[in-house]
Amino acid sequence: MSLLTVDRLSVAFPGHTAVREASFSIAAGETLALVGESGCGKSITAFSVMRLLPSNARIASGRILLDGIDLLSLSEPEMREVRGAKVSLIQQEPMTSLNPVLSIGLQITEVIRRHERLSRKAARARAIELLDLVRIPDAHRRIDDHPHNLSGGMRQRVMIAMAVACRPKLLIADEPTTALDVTTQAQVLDLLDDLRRRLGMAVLLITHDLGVVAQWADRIAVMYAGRIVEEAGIEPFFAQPMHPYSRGLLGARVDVDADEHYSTNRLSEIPGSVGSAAGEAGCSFAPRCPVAESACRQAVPSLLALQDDRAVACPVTIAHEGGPHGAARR
Amino acid sequence: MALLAVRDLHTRYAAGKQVLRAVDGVSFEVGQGETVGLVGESGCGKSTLGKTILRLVPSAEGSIELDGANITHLGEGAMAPHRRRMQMIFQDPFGSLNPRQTIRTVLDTALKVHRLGNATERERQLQEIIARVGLPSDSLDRYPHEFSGGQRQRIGIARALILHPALIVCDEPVSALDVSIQAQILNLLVDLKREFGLAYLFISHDLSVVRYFADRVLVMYFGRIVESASHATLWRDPRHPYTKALFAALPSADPTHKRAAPPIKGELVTTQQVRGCRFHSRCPAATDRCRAEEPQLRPLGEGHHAACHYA
Repeated sequence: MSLLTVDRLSVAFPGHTAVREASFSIAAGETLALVGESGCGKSITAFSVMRLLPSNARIASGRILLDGIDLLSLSEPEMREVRGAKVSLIQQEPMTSLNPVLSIGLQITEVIRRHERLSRKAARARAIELLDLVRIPDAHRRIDDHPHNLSGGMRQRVMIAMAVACRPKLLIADEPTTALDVTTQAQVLDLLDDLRRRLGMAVLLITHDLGVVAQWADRIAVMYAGRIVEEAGIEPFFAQPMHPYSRGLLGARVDVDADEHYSTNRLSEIPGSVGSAAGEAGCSFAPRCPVAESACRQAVPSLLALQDDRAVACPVTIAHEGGPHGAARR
Repeated sequence: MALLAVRDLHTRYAAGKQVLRAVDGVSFEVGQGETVGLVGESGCGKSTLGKTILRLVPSAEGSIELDGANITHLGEGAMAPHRRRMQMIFQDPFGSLNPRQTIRTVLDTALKVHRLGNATERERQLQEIIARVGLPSDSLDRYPHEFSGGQRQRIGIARALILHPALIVCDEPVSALDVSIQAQILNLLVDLKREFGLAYLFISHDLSVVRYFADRVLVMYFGRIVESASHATLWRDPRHPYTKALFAALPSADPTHKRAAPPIKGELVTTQQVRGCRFHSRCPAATDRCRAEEPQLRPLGEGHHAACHYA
């Protein structure tokens, strides 16, 4: 059974729908990357799992099951027992997630004592262990530092320490390294991967960087305009991305491995922008799609299984690949 | 003669009682029509260097020459004709556009300040530039918030381009954009360079983008250039341990090509002065010599330079 199952989740804001019928699941201990451009709904999906949506957002339909618990049916006090203990979240900018006037030690012990009956002293000892765990040097001294004393990478490590303090089964990392330099990014993602293994956590890694996905995730779900358009294992995905949007994204990226230079290669573009489909029926990628047919502009394609553990929401691709695999998947 | 020649440039900021040496003795040239990439991590001084060259931040020492003229200490009036020759594109096109001005006002102001053409000629130029950067023809009477991120960056490019500069300093021009939009903007910059013979100083933290876009690459660390080479040489044969670490940290989009563990530890700390090589505390190959003696940028042949005792 999956650790997390998100089933046909739709999230609406006044005037627009941010997430549309999104379904995916995460097995215990695995890393699923949720990928897409700004505004595609990936962060809103994460906030739905945490039940931390902005006050004007509304879950219009769907279910979220974590470890067998229906999160959407929990009361707010019940949900507070789940956050931190079963699922926790780290965000892009650690400076704005940390309290600038409290020492990092106080902020970590607050999390621990919220969920476990521990004395101050024991909680402080645990906090030092956690700082060691996330490889902050001199943990027993740094514990009394304030966030502004730490570098960006160190702050993100503190956030990770707080997030794993109560051994959650799922860690949601929302663009955890986007604000960090590339050498620091590698250190932080290696740390997350190591903790995932040691603590047996699953990770929902939200990112726009396909290089990060290729190196640190087990599976990928690609989101476009609020919908999941492709889901696959990492190796099959990068060997052969199926959805025209996935292909476009990989093509538009400056490839680290290939010897590309502007004097000899032109980057392939995805024309237009996400807003191109505003107000139109059918597949929201159709206005930018190189293979769109007239049928694409009539009905929204559903995510259909193409092979085992591989699904794509594109009728043109599916027809080209010889039809869907078995019965409709969802 | 180089279009831009920077010699031993220093820029200092006061940080409380301390002095922060953001740019600490940088020399390089940009040729006519050449694209020079400047790459480094946040806080290394790359943006300050760009702004110092454009005289938006005062320099402490050294000289800046544009077309052979020393512009380091020119007053605002004498500087004006030179400002036309070098323009800037910023990272955040929303933060750099006045939300209460229409695109027409934004672009027309540049022409008016430099007294270029009468109303009819200016209108023709506005129409031309809008079409050239790929914006819809009705854009002129709209406001910045009506555009997407990619379109706003096109407005930033139009504003830089409308004065027909010889050099554009691009400060992280695609970092705030989504991947699919990045490619559109990079392709546009390449087309404009070919069409107008532009030279770019392309500042970015992203080595893969710099490597694609630049003819020559400068790697900056803690206020200094630590390596410079043609794009092909740098990729084939990086010599400074910092450059090597930057390459090694780039995640490959090929999952079968697993990355090695990061070769350097820690982060760039800009608040303390270091003796010896600025990189020695993070360098996997540092020796006693590195801790005592600061390496100077030295030639390695074929225009390749590195500031490492062991390069």
